[in-house]
Amino acid sequence: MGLTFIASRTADEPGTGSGEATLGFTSGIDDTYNEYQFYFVNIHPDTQVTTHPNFQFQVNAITSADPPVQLEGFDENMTTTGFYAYNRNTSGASDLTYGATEDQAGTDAIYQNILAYDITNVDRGSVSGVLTLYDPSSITYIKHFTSVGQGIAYGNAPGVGSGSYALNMWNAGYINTTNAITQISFKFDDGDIDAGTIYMYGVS
Amino acid sequence: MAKTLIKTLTADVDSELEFIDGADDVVMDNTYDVYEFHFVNIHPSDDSKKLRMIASSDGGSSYGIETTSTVFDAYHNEADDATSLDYRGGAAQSTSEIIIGGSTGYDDDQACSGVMTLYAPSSDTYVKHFTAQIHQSSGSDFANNTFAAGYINTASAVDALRFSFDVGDIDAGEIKLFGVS
Repeated sequence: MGLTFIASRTADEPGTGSGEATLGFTSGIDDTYNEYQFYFVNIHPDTQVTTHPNFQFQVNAITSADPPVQLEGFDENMTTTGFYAYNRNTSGASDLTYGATEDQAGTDAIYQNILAYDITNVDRGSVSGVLTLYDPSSITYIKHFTSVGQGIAYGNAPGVGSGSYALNMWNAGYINTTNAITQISFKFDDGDIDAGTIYMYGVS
Repeated sequence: MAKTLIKTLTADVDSELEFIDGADDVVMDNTYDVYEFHFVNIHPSDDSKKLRMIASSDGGSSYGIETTSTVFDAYHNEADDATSLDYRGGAAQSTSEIIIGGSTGYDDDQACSGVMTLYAPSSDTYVKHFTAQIHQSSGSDFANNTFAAGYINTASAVDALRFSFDVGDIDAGEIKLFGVS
């Protein structure tokens, strides 16, 4: 297996409150590879927000017209699953559970959580992990994805008390379109991405 | 190509295997933002032992940085009468070795294999996240798929990692360190 670096996106305004609303790739996703991996490293929420947001992604497709036309907006339909394990660093709260609010179905067409439950914006909090997108240029099949993320959850994390948690989330699903996917966007559901880097690789 | 083999350690009845930045051609610094440790047929000297890791921020002079982690696994036995997906515990600010694998059998044909990913160990700002998926054939003849993850709770650079079983030696096997760039 070869892993070829394609591009990276960095938010680099730690502590200034002037981070990036989204980090994404609007080019470089095509039929060159039938598998793409996105490594997200120390993605840190905006320190100016008081809530602790969820890290998410969505994609955008092109039409099947000839020539194809880029669609507007990151709002593809997905059907997904999500489960996670957590453990509080002061002990006393841990579990492995299906995330009833970490999935979506049908025509929700919302950003998909890939690391959820109040990612902390304090105490060196961040999110790291890998999202794999399979065969995005297919015009025959729906598009599968898998992701694993590790972060620090905080506060009322999975609803079991205060403190910081190691939170390990696994998501997977399919993007329900036979149009080719050409763009991907990552963001927090509240506030900006204050710091961190996302690397895009092609797998061959 | 963005996955570079840095170092391979081969066990030969070793109590531990250790990667130290700057020693024996090991690189574990800001050269890469992501590192992967690939475990290939790690064979314990004792039955039903678990693979562990522990981190250092002073080049291996001392080990034991507070770490919080999760561990869960899926298993299925050869007799086809037992399956499970369940949370197995984890560390809460532990300074001891951190479990990253499940119970590994020591029959001649048993071992564990998998990958642990370590993110930005040289960061002087953030904790150090890691994720691991390690599969083992257990002492009770189960296929056991273990998922461990967590954070090494320091803003100092992590520059050494040590791997061992909870009891006994690493009789055989390879650990390959890759840099992802």
